[in-house]
Amino acid sequence: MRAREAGLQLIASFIRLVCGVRPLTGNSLPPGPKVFYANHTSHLDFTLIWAVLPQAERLITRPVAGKDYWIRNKVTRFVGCDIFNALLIERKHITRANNPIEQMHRVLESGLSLIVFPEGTRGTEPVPAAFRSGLYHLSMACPDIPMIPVYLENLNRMLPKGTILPIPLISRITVGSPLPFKADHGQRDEFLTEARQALIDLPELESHE
Amino acid sequence: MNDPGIHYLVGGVLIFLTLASLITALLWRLSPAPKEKPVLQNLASRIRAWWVMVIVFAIAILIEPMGTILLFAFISFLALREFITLTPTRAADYKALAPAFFLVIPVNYLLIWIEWYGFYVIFIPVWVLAFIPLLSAIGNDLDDFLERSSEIQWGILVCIYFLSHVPALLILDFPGYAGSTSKLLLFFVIIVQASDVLQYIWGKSLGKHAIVPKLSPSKTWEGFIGGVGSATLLGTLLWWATPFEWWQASILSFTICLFGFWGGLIMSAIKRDRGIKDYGGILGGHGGILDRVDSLCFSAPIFFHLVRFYFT
Repeated sequence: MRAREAGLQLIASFIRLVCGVRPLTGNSLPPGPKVFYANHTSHLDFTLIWAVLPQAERLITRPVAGKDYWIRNKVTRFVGCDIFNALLIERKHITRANNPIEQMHRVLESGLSLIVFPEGTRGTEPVPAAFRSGLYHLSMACPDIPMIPVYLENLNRMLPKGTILPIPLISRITVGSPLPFKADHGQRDEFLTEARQALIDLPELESHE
Repeated sequence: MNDPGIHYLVGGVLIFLTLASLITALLWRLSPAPKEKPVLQNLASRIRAWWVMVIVFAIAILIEPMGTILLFAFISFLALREFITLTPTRAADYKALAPAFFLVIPVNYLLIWIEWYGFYVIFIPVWVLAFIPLLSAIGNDLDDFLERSSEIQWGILVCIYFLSHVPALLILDFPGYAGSTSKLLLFFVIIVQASDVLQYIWGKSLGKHAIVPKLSPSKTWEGFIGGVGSATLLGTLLWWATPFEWWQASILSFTICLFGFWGGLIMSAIKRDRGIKDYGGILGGHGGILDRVDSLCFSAPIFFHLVRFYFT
């Protein structure tokens, strides 16, 4: 077990080195399970969020990823499941039995955190696309879980869709404070718009420091 | 590496750095609230970073020529990374950027390593600069195309080609100076860096009249004249390390200080244009790698070709 943890720490340092970022200091994050939601621009996205977390947080944080993509072959399965311990969800043919929201709910209840990308797919623009309803349903299902916006920059320039060798640019990751509001019935679109705006506002807030 | 000249140069730098550390420590001790003095803080972190840079550089030049070439290849890599991060390239530029990092840097430095001068001088200016826009164009995204591709060209030219003229000094062939080119390289780097440091010192103590106020209030006439003047004097006093007469060393020192200053000005203009203060944060107190090597980038090709034309 110790070898695995050391290995994960090494992988995290390597990812930070490639992306040119420093690790987060732990005290800025609320304790207990939480949901990190971010703009999605490349495959580096979830690895970078995972890599900047303090080791204790990293060990209990699972990225949520599309099952169809990550079970394609042995390599993607090894990377997705064995290294990053991803929670694989169905993107098509969703039934009661494999409902992603319920899966995520169960993971959060067991005390683990999640990384989600509410745009649903990777975008190429700096501003994230309109959010799909998943984040709203998740917030409805677990109203006590803090939702933390994370803004990622430059990663789609480093590893655009269809490429596997990252160009070593300096990326930026901005982790915000938990959303001050919660989802409630009938306010779906407002919740999603506000959650998205909180994400978009992050880098500007940061630069005023 | 039995040349005593190298030891004198490195020893001189170490003595100077030790003095600087002692003076800073003394100032720190004498100041009533040193933590609230940004200048003193900046000075302390700058000197700390200088120690690291000098030690890395000294080890690199001792492993001749491999260490120097690898070190500069790595600096090019970090500098290009800082430069490209700040330019508005898009996903479509991947096809141009991947070879810039993974092909152009190794090939350019390999050509220095195998001493193939004829191909080295034209590899980037002709072959790479012709191919890069093509690779950007086939990315099928034409927004700001000219801006994007010329900025990648600029990055490659300044961060790889210009900068690589520092280790390229190693392959110059002087009559009667064989095997001592590391000393020439060290002379060059010392003068350029001393000029930067001395401009900083003169500017901080006497600087009043900004040269280009829009660009930088800290680049003053007092700093420029004092810095370039004293660095030229230093270069003249170090003539014994070079294959030149004292007056030739003096003229060359003055020229490289001038081009070093212009390089700093040009790279500051780019930063100003982008609305940033530093190219990165890798060197405490200095900003990024590119903030430290900007003056080397522009003076190295000038020095290399002047020396090559007149002395070899």
